[in-house]
Amino acid sequence: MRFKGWKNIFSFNYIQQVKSKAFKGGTAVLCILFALIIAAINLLPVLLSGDFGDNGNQDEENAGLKALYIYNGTDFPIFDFAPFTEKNIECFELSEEDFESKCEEITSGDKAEAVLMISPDKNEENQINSITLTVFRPENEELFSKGAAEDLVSECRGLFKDSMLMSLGVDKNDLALAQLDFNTDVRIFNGEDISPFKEAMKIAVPMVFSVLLFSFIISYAQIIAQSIAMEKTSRVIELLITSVRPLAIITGKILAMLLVAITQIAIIGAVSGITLAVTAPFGIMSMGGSGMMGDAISAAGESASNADFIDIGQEITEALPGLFNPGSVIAILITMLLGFLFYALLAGLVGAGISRSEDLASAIQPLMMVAMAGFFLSYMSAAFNYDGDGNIIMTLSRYIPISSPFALPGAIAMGEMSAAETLISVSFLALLTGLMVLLVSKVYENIILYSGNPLKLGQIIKMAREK
Amino acid sequence: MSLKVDNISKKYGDFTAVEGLSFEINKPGVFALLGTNGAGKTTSIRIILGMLSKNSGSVLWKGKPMKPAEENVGYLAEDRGLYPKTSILDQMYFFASLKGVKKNDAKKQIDYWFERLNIDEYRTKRSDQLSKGNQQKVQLAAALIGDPELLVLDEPLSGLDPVNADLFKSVIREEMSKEKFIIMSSHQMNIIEEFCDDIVIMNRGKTVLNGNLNAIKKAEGRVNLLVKADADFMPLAEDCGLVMKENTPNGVCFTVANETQAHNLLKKMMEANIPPIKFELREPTLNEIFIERVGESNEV
Repeated sequence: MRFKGWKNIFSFNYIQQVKSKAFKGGTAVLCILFALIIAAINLLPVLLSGDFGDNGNQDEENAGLKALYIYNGTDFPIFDFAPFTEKNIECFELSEEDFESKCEEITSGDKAEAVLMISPDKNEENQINSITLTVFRPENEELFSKGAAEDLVSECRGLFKDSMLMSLGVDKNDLALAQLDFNTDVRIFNGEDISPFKEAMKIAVPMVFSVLLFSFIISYAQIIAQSIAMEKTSRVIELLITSVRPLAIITGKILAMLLVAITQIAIIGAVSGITLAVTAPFGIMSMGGSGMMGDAISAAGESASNADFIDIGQEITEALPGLFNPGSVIAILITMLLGFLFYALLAGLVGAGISRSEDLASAIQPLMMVAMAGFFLSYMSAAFNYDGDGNIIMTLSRYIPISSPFALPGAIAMGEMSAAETLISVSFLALLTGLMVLLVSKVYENIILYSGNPLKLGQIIKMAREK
Repeated sequence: MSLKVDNISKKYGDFTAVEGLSFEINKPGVFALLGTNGAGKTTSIRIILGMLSKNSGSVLWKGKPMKPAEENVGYLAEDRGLYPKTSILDQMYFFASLKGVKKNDAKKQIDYWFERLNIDEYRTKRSDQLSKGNQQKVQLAAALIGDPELLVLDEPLSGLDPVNADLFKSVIREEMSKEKFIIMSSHQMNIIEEFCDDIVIMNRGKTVLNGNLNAIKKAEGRVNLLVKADADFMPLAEDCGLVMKENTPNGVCFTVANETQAHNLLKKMMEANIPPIKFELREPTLNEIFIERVGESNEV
């Protein structure tokens, strides 16, 4: 019977909170922020590299070229024209006599044509040191731009080199082998892959998890404290407790705030997902990838392959295995829920322990200090994890109940916690949250009508013992 | 059906807020809880309504320990309170839901009380946009929603203008006509006299007077004598041993030890050919009883 009526408290608080300007404004700002961050992460590398624009322009501008005249001053055979004829560019060989007049004609002409000169550079002993490919283009930039000419000469260089090697007896397979890329990597034998991306993730993931969880948990804890303090200082509480017990009030209120938080996260998640889907076709997130995340990202949009970009989907799948394991996801959710409950109950006591609204700021300071200590343990230990091997503070932060709500979810997501370690850490947090539930159930009914100076934790514990 | 408060006490450390308060309401009507500021009235109400734990005693409603959250109780607190940023209508539906009133019934009741208390035009406003008097009306409506069997009104008329005070009184009469059990706390003795049959006067946590108001007055006797005449009758009054309480335009008021003193004065005035324009022997007012009893209690 002590909880009778909690559903009414729950639905009223949820609806009022979601209808409030603070919720709408805050959620809108966070949605915009997350959308911008995702768009920036996705698009900035592409935009800064300039490859996106160049790839697109190359085809377009080469398509503008109508004819290519080639003077080959070497003894090597000229390359196959097929790659150009496929693009509707007519190719003609030029003799040495016609070369100069053709160049003059193209330079001052009004046609999208160009001349390619392939000339050997010889030393004193008449041996070839190098071969130079030069493209002569029209003066009129609009007919055939310098950039397009540079792309053209680069393409011709590759074709001529292949043609030259094949003329020297290298067959197509040998040629493909000769052109293989050589990748480099550094590993510890039987150790972990330490790609730069994963190394960065080892630092960034715990920090990001800490910041996000701290922000959410403490924001909502503060809202709970404010809401209870407002009910108490405005004396609404006296009207409420003629119909429901104080424990039903705090239960309904905390659960309502939990649902408000979930609603806000869901809205932000949906906006982030839409942003990802919209920007994916143009950014790094579309570069293939395997596994659940990779597939999802690939499905979001198709894009031209680019070997310079990392496979984000694959990397995230490998760096955050916990996010794709149902057991780990449940452990993360339980940790977040317990962390939320712990700080929400503490905030409930703070709100109930004051009699004047102006006392709230000072009364909530101890809670904030506890939460800040937990947050800094989690955040700073991750920030100083240069080598990605972890440190003692990081380990402790995952077990101490005031910091584990901020540190543990990230660690589980990265697959750094075994099932046993997770169970121990969650048990510590559950124990402290349970003690908090016990304390609140003992003293809340008494302190909700308390009038006087803000209650200190010591006084609250004394009240619990007296009862 | 009755409310029985038996010997309840409440202590905060060494300070005794309420000591051995007992009373019983056996029939519908208005019961008055009177006292000076800090006498323990609100603490007693909070104990009765289960908001505060008590050190001793019991509160029985219909013969069983009082559990307000499970009973149909309406409460208008002395410290008025509404959610400042929430619309009046939303709050009313919320308070109705806490009392287990279904939405359709709640709508009917809200419409009725808003109309009755002349606040219908404010239903979509936030409470911080309302005047203090209108907020008080909303709170009275909140206390009345769910048609409570027991209504506790802590200083219901304080801060109201005469028009709204009259409106509140008419609502209280309406509830009395519905055979409700009403506990009212007030400093306005004329209001208590107007509504209440039974009273408790508290001072510093202790009960100084308890019982039926008419019986108390009768027991006090007709101790006030108001006399008005064209000629000077004061020497005659002194001869009779009367002590003047006050001289007002309506006449001179005396405190009499017994009715014989008054009869002697009247006889002497007639003999001296000073016929009285006004000669009224009356019981003490509640205000007088209150001041006397609380004063005595403080002297002790």
